[in-house]
Amino acid sequence: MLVPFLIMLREGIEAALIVGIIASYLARTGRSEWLPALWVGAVLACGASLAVGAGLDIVSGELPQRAQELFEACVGLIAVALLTSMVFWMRKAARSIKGELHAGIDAALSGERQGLALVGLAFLAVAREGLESVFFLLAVLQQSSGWEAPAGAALGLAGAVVVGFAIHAMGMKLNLRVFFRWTGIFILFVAAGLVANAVRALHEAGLWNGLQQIAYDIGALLPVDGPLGSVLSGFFGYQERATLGEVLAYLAFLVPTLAFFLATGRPEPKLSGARP
Amino acid sequence: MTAAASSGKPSPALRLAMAGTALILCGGVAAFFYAAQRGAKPRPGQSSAQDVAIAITERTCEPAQITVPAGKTSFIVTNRSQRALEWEILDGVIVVEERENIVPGQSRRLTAQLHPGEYAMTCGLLSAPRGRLIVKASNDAAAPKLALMDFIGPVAEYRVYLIGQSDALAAALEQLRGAAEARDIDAVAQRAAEASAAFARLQPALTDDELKAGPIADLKLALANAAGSRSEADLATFVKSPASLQDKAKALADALAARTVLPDAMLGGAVRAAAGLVKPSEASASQVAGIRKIVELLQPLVTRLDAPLAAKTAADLGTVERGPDSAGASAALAGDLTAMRAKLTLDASGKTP
Repeated sequence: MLVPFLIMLREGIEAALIVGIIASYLARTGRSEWLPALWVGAVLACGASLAVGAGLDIVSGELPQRAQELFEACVGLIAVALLTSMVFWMRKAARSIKGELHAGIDAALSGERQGLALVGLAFLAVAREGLESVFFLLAVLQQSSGWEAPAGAALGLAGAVVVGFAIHAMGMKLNLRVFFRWTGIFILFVAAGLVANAVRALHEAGLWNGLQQIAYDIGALLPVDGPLGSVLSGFFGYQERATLGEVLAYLAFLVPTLAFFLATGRPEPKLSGARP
Repeated sequence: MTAAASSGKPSPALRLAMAGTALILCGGVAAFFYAAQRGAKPRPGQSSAQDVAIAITERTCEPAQITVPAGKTSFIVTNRSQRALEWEILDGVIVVEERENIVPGQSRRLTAQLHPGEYAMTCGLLSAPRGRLIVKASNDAAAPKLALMDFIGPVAEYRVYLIGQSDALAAALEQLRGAAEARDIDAVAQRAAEASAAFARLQPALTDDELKAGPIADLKLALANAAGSRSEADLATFVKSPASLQDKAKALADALAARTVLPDAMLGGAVRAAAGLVKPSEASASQVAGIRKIVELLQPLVTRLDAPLAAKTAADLGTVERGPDSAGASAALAGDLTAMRAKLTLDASGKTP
């Protein structure tokens, strides 16, 4: 029961995390009117994954793994681009509010295009995990004699949904300045994990075969299918064993973006005191 | 403002989207449960004698070595460990096929189209020792057919090679012009030899007509004369015209940049080059280099169709490269290349024979 629970929790968190972040971001930048569209996008992706997954299972009985990996890599990279741009929008917004809190930060910042892009990303993020999960759930349902494994998988999925709403709720409670600063750092780590896993997915899709030396293998210390490993994997793309290419991509993304974010995202010094 | 912007009530567009989503979700759920209960029953025709059963634990495959015939094979992978595992077929570092997230005690099916060769398979955790998967060429299975899609890689790589050689040719001619202006006869001969070598390497990409007459034929002749001769009189006539040579080389580069050389044409050129190999000289070394490039690009494809032919071609090419007396060897190589060409020519259906 534990294994299906953890697998579904991990896959679910990967999707719920992105949707939760987008939801908080939309709400905190004064665009709550986009939230219904966001939920529609996420639920639509669930429905589409169920339909496509069931159809593929009936026709061929197998998940086209390479195509799935390519899809994962592409959506992962789109998510990285949008999340990163969101982080830097936030930084800009945090500087413009100068300690005061008001929800409608800057209508000029919020374009309709960005709203649409974010809803689209929520759809893709759910679909990316959805199809693979549907195949997983089908296999579990078809082969289980007892109720434990399906129940575990269902609980894992429910847990992921709870995580998504918790992120949304937490984002709503945080002080706006803190929200922008710490969420920004958090999102950059999430995006770096997406970059590394996109490199892995491209390898599994057969498109990238360079730098395959094993950089580290700490499976004995923190197995990725254990409770902590699964959660870390869902949030930050943790892998117990990674290749050199994945590690390099992770660092090449994280180090510059984080440095830039920390260097320029600092609250501006009070001009009145320093220069009269 | 936006479709979803009206405060309070959702806009008509959004409501429509919600209704559509609910519909798709219901359909998806229904299809899901249909597939689930359908798959729970054993399906006729699904499990056949062709299925290869593999049990994996954390660190082993049972059996650890499997031999299957080339073509389509279905593996039924069962996880006999207590952990979630994945199973991969590897060709070197390349992942050929894989299944992820296999739950303890359960099995997943993986159907793979495998070419003859030796593969590794992961056994449980990725750090565990690998199992061996041997795919034997089988006479029962129809010989694999290649289509235009399979040629894309080699054709693109050959185009890059041709561009590199035309650049080398242009650079040598540019230096030749400098040497000619300085009346440095030795340097002219040297640069002409370099240009001639670059020309020889790209020559298989040219057509018979181009080599028979016209600017490219003139260029070839002039380069061959200049590179082969060291007499002042020869060079003097040659030195008069470096600019026109550069124009011809430019025309050649433009023609090649726009050209898609399919394996059929590559091998036609290579056969011609092999047949034209005379005594070993610097020029023939370049011609052989041009042939080697083509053989290397097409070797993986030929191996899939006819592994012995691919091996024989490589061996005969090696003999030509080594042997001072290579008349017999170059004839053998030309024969191999002709056989390769027959294998790699697409027929009317767009497939190899």
